[in-house]
Amino acid sequence: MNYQHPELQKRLAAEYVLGSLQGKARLRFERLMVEQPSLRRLVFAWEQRLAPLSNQLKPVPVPPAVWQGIRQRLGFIVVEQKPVSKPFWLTWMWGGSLLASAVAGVLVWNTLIYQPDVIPSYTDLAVLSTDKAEPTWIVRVNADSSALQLSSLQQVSVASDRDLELWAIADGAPESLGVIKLSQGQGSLTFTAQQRQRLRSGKVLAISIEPKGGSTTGSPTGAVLFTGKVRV
Amino acid sequence: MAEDMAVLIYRTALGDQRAFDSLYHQSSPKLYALALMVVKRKDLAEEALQDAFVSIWHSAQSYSEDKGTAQTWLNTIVRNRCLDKLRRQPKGISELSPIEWENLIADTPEPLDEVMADADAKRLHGCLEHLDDKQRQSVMLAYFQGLSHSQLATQLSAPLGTVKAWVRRGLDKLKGCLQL
Repeated sequence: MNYQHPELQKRLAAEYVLGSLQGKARLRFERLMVEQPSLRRLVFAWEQRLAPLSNQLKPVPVPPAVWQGIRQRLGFIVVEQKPVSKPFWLTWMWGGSLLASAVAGVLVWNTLIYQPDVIPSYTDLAVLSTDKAEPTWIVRVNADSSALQLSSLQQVSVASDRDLELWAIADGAPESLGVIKLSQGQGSLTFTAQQRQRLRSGKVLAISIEPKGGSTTGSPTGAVLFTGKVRV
Repeated sequence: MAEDMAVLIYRTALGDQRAFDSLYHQSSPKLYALALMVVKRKDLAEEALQDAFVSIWHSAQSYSEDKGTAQTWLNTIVRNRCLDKLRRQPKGISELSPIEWENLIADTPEPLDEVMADADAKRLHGCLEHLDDKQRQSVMLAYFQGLSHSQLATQLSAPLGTVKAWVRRGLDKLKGCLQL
């Protein structure tokens, strides 16, 4: 199929938004959309045309548990733990203190004597989402902000002649944090001193699609696909 | 008095929990109706609504008014979550009778502050009247149930080619009518 044909593009965009475009055709269309702003415009226009369908539905009262669940998942409220009666195995373990000290001995040996390679610890820095609020990347940073790890929550496919580039936005124009090295749904980046500074002052992170090797202009040249606030 | 939902989304983007609270309570009854319409099961609809609002909290900064009305943005997020859930169901859920959606369409007058947002909906509704029954059914089933052409063919007991033509002509008519 010739995807450059304007009539075909229009039809696919309409059926993509409607929902009838499915399976491999849908995935292929999503890949093309990343590359082609004209397709994204067609899709946007159809979203605007069809979204009012939902506006005429009669409102239905939502069970209160839904809001509770949202607040719990976002950490706004701490779930109260019921006081638990001491589990049987605790009594059993303290009863068997010999066994306990043997277990402790193994732990001491593990931590003090047998030292595996040090695993750098990363903390969550941001969740990057599409403009449809679909969370797609969890960004984690190591202790001295010299490296990032990105884990994808959804399948992200990038054409072989393209790269994803990460940007930090403080107050003005986006500043590059470099091209993301992708491998099996995981991304990684290591920083120069300058980039580390950019990351520290950044309030928002963004990922754009760029030619292989990254933008040569110092600013994003392709579509910005994912954005997210940096956690303070 | 309803607050401007776009403003509530902007404030949510700044981490304002009270704005997020208002946004949820103002928008969720309609969004829940939409979720129920799509997934047809309370548990799945509740799950989808929760997922949607968790991601709205995290990505509110991706909304801007040039992307359309706040309601449209929220609708798209909730509907996409619901269609994801449907596609993950082993056999899909398809207990919808083709006229069922009509019963869910509100015929009560809207409060004044909703009239503006619903002007688009009324216009679209008017345009849907220009479609043949089969075309309208195909469009509505695909939109609210995420049905593919072949699933539509099964649901409407019609050959695949015919169903494809219904969808295509239906969409063409809608687009033409909405441009007037």
